[in-house]
Amino acid sequence: MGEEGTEGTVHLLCLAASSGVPLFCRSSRGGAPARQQLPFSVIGSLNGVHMFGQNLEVQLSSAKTENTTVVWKSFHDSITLIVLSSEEGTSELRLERLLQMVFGAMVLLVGLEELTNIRNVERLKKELRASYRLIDSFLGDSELIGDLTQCVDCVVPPEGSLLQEALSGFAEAAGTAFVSLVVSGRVVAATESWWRLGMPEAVLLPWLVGSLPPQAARDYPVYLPHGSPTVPHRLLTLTLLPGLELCLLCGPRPPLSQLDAQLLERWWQPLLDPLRACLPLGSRALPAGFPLHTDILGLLLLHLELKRCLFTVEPSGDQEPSSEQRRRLFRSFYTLVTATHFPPGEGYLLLRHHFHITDEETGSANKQQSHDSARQAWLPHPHTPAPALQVRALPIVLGGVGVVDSTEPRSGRKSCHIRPVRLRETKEGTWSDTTTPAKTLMDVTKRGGAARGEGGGGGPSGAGAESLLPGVGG
Amino acid sequence: MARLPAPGSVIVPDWHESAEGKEYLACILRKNRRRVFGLLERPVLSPPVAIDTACYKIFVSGKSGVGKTALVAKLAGLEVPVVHHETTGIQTTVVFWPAKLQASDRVVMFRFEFWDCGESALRKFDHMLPACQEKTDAFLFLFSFTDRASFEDLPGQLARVAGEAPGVVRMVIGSKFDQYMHTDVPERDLTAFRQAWELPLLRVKSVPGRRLADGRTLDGRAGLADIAHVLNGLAEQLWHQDQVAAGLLPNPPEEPPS
Repeated sequence: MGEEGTEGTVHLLCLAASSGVPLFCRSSRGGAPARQQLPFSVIGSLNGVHMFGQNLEVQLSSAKTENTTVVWKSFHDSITLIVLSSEEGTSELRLERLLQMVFGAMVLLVGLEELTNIRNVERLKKELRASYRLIDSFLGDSELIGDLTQCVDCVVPPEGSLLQEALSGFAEAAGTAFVSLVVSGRVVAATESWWRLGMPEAVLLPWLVGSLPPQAARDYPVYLPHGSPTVPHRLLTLTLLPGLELCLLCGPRPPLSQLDAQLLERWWQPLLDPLRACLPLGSRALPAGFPLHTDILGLLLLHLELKRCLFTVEPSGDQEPSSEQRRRLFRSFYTLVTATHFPPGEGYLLLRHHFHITDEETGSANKQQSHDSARQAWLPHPHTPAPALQVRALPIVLGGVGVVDSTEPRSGRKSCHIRPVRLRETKEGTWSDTTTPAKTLMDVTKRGGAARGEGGGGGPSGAGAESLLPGVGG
Repeated sequence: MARLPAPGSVIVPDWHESAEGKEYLACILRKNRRRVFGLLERPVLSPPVAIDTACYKIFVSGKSGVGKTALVAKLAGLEVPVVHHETTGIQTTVVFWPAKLQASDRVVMFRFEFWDCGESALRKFDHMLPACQEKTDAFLFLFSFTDRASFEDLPGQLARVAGEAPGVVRMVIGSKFDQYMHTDVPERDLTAFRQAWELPLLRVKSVPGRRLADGRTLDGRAGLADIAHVLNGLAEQLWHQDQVAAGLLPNPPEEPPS
């Protein structure tokens, strides 16, 4: 459990827009689901003020109190979602994305028809219970980050091409084109068709599988919020090893019983060792022995074009600070940077942290993240340029890097700083780190004013950390 | 319908408590917790002894809310969900259970695959019930001691779900037996049901399992002791059914050819 001061509460309210009847309320405190509920009068007022605005043709989208941010969002004039968060480092952007994910989760398990054409509120309430687990995982302290980045959480398996080959063969044998291999909610390998799934289902499906209690196999009806919100498809999952599941998306065929032990053994028993090697990737995302600078506490790699991301706060075996704390910091850092520098409305700006990674020897675009190409794709450390990495089409690469770099003299406590890394492509085709090393964006050990900059420095990245963070800490 | 084997006549009832039994149970436990097996895995005995594995598919049926998912979770040694919700679709759970046969003194590894499906999903999607019924070796019918309607629904369930598979093992389990103070199903009704249907009937408590010293993880051994009677009961019925089907047992005298 984190320190008391960092414990924020998140309340999520879901109401039927026309009647104002609450459909469900979910809460989390300090990253764990909580039972605490808001009084009915508060729920009523929050919905009332939103409705009042609507009647006057005013869209109330967010509000801020001293320590709480509130965001409202209506979906299809039928469902109103309200979220209140007192978590440190929260922002409207994060909460808006949260509401989108929550509504996506509701559609995924209940279907859009039931949500837009509410005939029986009590039945809908009952049906929505099935999505609580998934929704709670968005509110709580998740190990994934796809809810925020809107990219699919992936891992780099040690023998990716072998797994990919088996996956394609298995998909053909099973008679569906949509197959993926998922470890703890992260995609290890997937068929091309699976990768073509739209948003938000591409993020939601692995997330759902990762949030469910263990089952040997499942045959669940799912509604794809983007691709097929009213006609259900079947999501079949098969647990090859605990935590490692094959996911198939299909129509009426094949029946679950057809994916029997023989078929699984034929395709996957020969790959037992590579499959076992995927299990620790759940939290680490990178294979053991991957060369990374020891100072790196957390890492997020985004490929916005392919809509995939790789996120880990456990690249090394370090214990301090705790992974929960690192994740929380990383998330608020990401939110802060995307909210202030790359607003979602300005798609062009977002493109700025697109990057293409090409293999320098072959020059071919890196489409498949096999081990070797991924090795080159990593940004090892801001100070050590990766020799075989060529970054194109990118004025700035953003990387959040936490560095344990100082010890408080009085308490002897180590402090951890997270700072933005600006990487600039040079004319020679290499890249350079244009960040001033001394600049600190966030100081973990401080509470409250988490985003206060430290140290002066100067340098190309501008006049102090404050300038990077308009509107924060001032 | 073949005559039911008397309880304890096929499987040695308390064998799992014996020193030998405990040794075998170790392969489905890890650090006193129940081991979860993937579909590519099976328990390995140490030292490695080859024993036969008998695989069975079991469909768990019963009115919504009687605790089908909770029962299966309990049998598998997993956490029972705190808040009830309808199971979204079909979910299957594999439980391995070593048991000793009375007749041959042989240990057999039973592999039960429980098929659990939410009631409303069954009604809404046509493919689900046939998928659950297909090639099933046994039907487990659940009712709750606190829900009279679920008990009264049993004959309907039996006809609807198992009507087309007359030779298949059928067992009835009453859940939430711990709440006997609030029971809606008195003993005399159970006796009447037993006489009318001649089906094996077991009771399970729905109390949270014992925890290990850390206060969080479920104690695997204690959990197994709680549910051994259900697994042995199932093993007994299924093994007996196989023996009859293979012609290894004399035909039941009660069933004269009509």
